[in-house]
Amino acid sequence: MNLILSYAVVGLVLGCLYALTASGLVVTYTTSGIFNFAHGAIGMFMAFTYWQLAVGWHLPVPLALALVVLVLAPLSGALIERLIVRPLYGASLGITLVVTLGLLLLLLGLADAIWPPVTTRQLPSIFPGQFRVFSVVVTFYELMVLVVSVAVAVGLRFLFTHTRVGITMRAVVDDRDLTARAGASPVRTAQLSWALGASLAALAGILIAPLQYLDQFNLTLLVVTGYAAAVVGRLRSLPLTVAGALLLGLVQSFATGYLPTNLLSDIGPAIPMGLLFIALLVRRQERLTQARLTGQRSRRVLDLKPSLFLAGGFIALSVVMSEVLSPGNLLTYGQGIVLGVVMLSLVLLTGYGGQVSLCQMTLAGLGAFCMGKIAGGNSLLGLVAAVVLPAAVGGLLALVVLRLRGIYLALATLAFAYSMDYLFFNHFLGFGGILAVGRVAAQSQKGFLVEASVLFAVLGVGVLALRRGSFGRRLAALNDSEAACASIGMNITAVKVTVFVVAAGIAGLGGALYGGWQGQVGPDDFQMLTSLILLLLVTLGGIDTVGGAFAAAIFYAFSPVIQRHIPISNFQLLAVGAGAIFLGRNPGGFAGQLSLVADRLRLRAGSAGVPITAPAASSVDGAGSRSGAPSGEAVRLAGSH
Amino acid sequence: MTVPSPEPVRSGPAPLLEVSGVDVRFGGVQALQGVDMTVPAGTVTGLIGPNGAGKTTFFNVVCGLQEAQAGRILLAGGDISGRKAYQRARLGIARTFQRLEVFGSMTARDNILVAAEVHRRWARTGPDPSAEADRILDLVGLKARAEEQVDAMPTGLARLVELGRALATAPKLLLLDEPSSGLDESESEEFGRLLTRLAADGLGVLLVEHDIELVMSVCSRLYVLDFGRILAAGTPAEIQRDPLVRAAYLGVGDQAAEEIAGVG
Repeated sequence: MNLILSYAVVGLVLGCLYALTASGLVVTYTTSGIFNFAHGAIGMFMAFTYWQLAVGWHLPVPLALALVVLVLAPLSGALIERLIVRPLYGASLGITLVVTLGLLLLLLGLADAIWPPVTTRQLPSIFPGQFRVFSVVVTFYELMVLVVSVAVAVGLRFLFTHTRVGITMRAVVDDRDLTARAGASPVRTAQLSWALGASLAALAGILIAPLQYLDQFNLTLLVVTGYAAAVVGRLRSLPLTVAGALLLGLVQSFATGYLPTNLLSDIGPAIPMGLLFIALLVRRQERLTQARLTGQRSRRVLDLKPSLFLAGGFIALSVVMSEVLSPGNLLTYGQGIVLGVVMLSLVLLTGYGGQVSLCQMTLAGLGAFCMGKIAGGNSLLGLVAAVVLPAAVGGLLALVVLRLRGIYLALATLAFAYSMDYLFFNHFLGFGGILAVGRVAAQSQKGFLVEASVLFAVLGVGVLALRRGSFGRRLAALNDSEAACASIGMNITAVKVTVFVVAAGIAGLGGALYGGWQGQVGPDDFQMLTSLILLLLVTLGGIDTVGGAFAAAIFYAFSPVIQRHIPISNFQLLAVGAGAIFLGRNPGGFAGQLSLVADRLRLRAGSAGVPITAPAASSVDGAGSRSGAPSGEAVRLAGSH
Repeated sequence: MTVPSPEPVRSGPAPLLEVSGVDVRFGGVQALQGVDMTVPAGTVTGLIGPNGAGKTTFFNVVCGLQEAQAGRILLAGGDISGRKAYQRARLGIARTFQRLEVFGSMTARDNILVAAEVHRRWARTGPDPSAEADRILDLVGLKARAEEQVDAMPTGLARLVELGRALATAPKLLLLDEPSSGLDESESEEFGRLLTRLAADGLGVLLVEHDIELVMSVCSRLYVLDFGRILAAGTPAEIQRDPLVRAAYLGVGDQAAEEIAGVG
């Protein structure tokens, strides 16, 4: 009996901490409409800042705490809103997702550079000591967490029901435009909510840190648990969010108490993801997505001839590279190409089809697993399985998450990736976490490089051909407006499942090649975070072009080389993070900028290329509706004469 | 012994669209209440009413984007109430949207082509999609602007793209939601002639339109929707004389009432 009570107390405390972080997430999402993937990273950064003040610079604990939670955190929240988030209002989900993920990576990289993880840091205990209630030991720290959480919950409730600011926040949630017309400033309100959200993130980060060592990754990924609680609250309701968080804390605590240890290490971390998945799937059917005016000029898809020409050029380049590069550089170049295959799958799925996936590396990992496990690790059968099994899993995943859209789809794929890290990869990638993966056909380093390059080129040409054809048009239509797709009789389910299957197959092949190139793979190769970095990289390169995947692959491969020559640590994280943040202003990515330049050159050269006039109604308003631009041009119904 | 049927025996084939007793509630708001409507093939039927009357909601119910709490929808005599939106489209219901739903990243031609391709894929018959797209571009008068990206087009033209896309599905019933907004007067007249011609070819058209002049000139029958209920139904001439309609429109604004009364 005592034991049950003890676990209940621990679970309650854990649940309160989750509630703190999830409440902050909900507050920012509802008022600004932007899901802050970096919420946990902000909390992590603030927890480290607090450590710096209290331990590093020996400030009194209460002063340091007040400084961080009441001054520094809200200030940075407001600053982030002003500099990074404000240009995003009305932008597509893909862009807001990439920008906030970029912020996550940037903060992660910065914290890692400022506070190198070579020493273990621990926060000072604020209230040492413990007491007994009904013979259950409760620490003062636990009591404090409970008190603070209840105070925050009551405070938020009061804020939203009794204060002018809070009521304005709720009004902004209901109707942004109407609130603006009523005299309140939605932007100012959103800024306030980001400040408040950052404060809550900081509080959660500081309070949860004593349960573990200060660790950049763990604290950042804590928010993943917050996502689950927030989704229980449908990203809107604070009481439901708190209920979800408490449930999660209790389930985790009792699992710790009663599950056998070997099972616990697998299932424990996946519990929040399980709840997230269930919460996502019991959501009522969403409406079909509707068209939004992006104001973006879409690029011409490369014709067959030039794409064949470029593919040939690329293979030739790889042949030359295989001769001139040093073994070390050859290794990085080849790694870029095999990962480029995985990125191609993102171009198809996310770039063309608009289906955000945060689990492509997981599917790649399944490919490597098939390759390594089947028939000696170097058989054609293994390679085929490396395409077929991930494709089947991708199709299954598509069927499960089919009814989810936008942010919910992204979260579901994230949950899948995160769970697979613990349930599958930590376990089944061979003995000691290493699985040897062989090669098919060419065995030498140079030969395999050319083989991988040919496969990348063929897939690149194939993806482009798919985009030019009838399926590609359906995919682009799906990306533009699901409601319109249904209205012309298109079976959206079939198109979505198909594109998930094909993309997963490509990712699986990429994973098998990745394994073959490295010779062996471990669980670290296919972590969720790598999937995120990959998505950000392709988006930076230009996610709607095959060239974007290529640029991203080359950057990924050579960033360790660049790293060796510059003094800043974590160059890759910082560069990708910063790049993704600035993407908010230039959504086309690197390839988009290139094609703009190319268009300008073509125009200057006098050839009649694509006209680059700005769209008639390029402004995007909050509702995403065409901003009522009346037709200025003469419209002639010539055919009806 | 035969029991006499209480309902009169129907002569001839069932009407193209037959809607009865449709209710839609959004929370506490009754958006549609007991709506009945019949749309015959080969004619243009009008649906008018003030903003917020429930016209677009009614379209969404007919094409399957909005579930109704009650009511039946028959297409050519067959019950389609439980069908999904894309299945209804395959049965012959096409529509345009008041708030544009074009494929904005694609060219005008690709918008129409993708619809023709989808139709060809499931129907397994019909004209070559590419030729069909060209024919429809010509029909709606977009031939010269076929290769323009639709997001960059003025609203009036984008509405024509939607019309063309709807036609490319080879529909039996066409639902048009304020298709003439964004067109000027002469363009509207042109558009009216196109509608009459499409109806003459056998298409059933249900037209929601604020341009009363256009409505009066092309519709053979009119329904008036107000606060989610059918206020009146009849020929344009009957509707103009209907005291209920005049009162409703007078309640909304004198100008609209004058427009209704003044036309014809």
